[in-house]
Amino acid sequence: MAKYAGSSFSVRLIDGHNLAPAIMENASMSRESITQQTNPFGVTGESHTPVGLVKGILVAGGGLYDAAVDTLHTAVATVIGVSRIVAAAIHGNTIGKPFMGFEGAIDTKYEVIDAKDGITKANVTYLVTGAVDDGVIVQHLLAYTADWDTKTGGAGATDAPVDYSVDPIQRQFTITGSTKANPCEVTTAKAHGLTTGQKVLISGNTLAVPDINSDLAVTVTGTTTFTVAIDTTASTGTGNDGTLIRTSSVAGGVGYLEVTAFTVATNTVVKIMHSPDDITYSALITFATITAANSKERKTVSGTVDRYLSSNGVLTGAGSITVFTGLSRN
Amino acid sequence: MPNRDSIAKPLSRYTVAEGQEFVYPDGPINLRLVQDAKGVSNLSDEARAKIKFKTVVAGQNCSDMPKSSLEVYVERGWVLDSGAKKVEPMTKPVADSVTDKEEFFTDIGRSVEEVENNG
Repeated sequence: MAKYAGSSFSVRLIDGHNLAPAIMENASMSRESITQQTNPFGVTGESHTPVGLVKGILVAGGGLYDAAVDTLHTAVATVIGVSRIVAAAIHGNTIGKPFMGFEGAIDTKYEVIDAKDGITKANVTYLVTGAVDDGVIVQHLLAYTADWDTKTGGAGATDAPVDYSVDPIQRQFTITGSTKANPCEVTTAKAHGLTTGQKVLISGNTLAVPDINSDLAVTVTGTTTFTVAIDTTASTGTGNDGTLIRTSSVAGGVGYLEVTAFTVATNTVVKIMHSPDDITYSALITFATITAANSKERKTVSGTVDRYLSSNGVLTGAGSITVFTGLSRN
Repeated sequence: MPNRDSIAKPLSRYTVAEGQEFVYPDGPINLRLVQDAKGVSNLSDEARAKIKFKTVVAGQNCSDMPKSSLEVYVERGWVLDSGAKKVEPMTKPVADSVTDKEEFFTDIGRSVEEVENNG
């Protein structure tokens, strides 16, 4: 299990302001399902019912009080009821690492602390009423002076696509059986929750010649069964083993964009791309054209999101852009 | 004599559907490099930077897209296949009864006896 320290917490973006450098002592982010107590009189235990709302909470403690641009003070100058877009990553500013995104009206408790013979600091607590998303960084916060593409490493970057099959939040399913038939039917130990057309990566299954250890589309036949389009009638091996992991999701997702610096003469267009095979990529999200610093956007998409994710940008005119993108799958 | 449109048709069988955009290796040499590596992710940084990619947008011909990708996108409706309708092979009409035979040969201007004797 990897461990992380404060040095990994380098991305805390609020409406295009990176506040991480301004935080001194502690920071936290959390999501909370809001519930209401619903137990009647006369019972000995409490019961709570979700009301369908999710609340995000971000806290920055002991930050440096600074009225300059991109500081705690500037980013929270209007403190009540303003809808903001937030992206924060505590596992490092690295492609493929997780981030947490928020969009909604933020109520802020902002305290400025003056100390005798000391530096003035500030504590900020953000209460987000709105969407809270867990996703992966597709484009880590980085400055570009030319077009880029994270799948090919543009502008000198050594980037790579994000592979859903190695996403740490993924759940692996154990295979308990696979038939020697056409098509081959696979049985899982627990309900797989798959949808027909969704793709899975099977590994460690002992059916051989042909085997089913590859990235395959499924046809769901039951809560713990599905078929794959391989004729295993003549295969050897028991086939009652192996694991699978999802390689596509079917319920859409949410993309995040934050731009902390922008000097490009005309504009920049940023996209998140996805691919089922890491060969052909298609546009998943095209963000609104960027013309200024502190741009931000949270954009939803429906339908299939494929296994591999990448991000690209096209600059029109000379200059520089510092940009972050991330995607949360539903 | 086929006209120019019918000659060109197989080359532009697949077009990008509305709202879609695709990027894939440009030409067989670049595709081969990516396929040999089993994907862009597996290429070295140096190799990745050298691969040339092609971008196609809605309405453009994408018939040179890698076959494995085409199959996926056609199924989803993201790529339109103008040649998707299967052409059934022509079959000889079969007349089951004498009446049917008479009607058929009358239609083609010949008698049953003439056909049976002369083929």
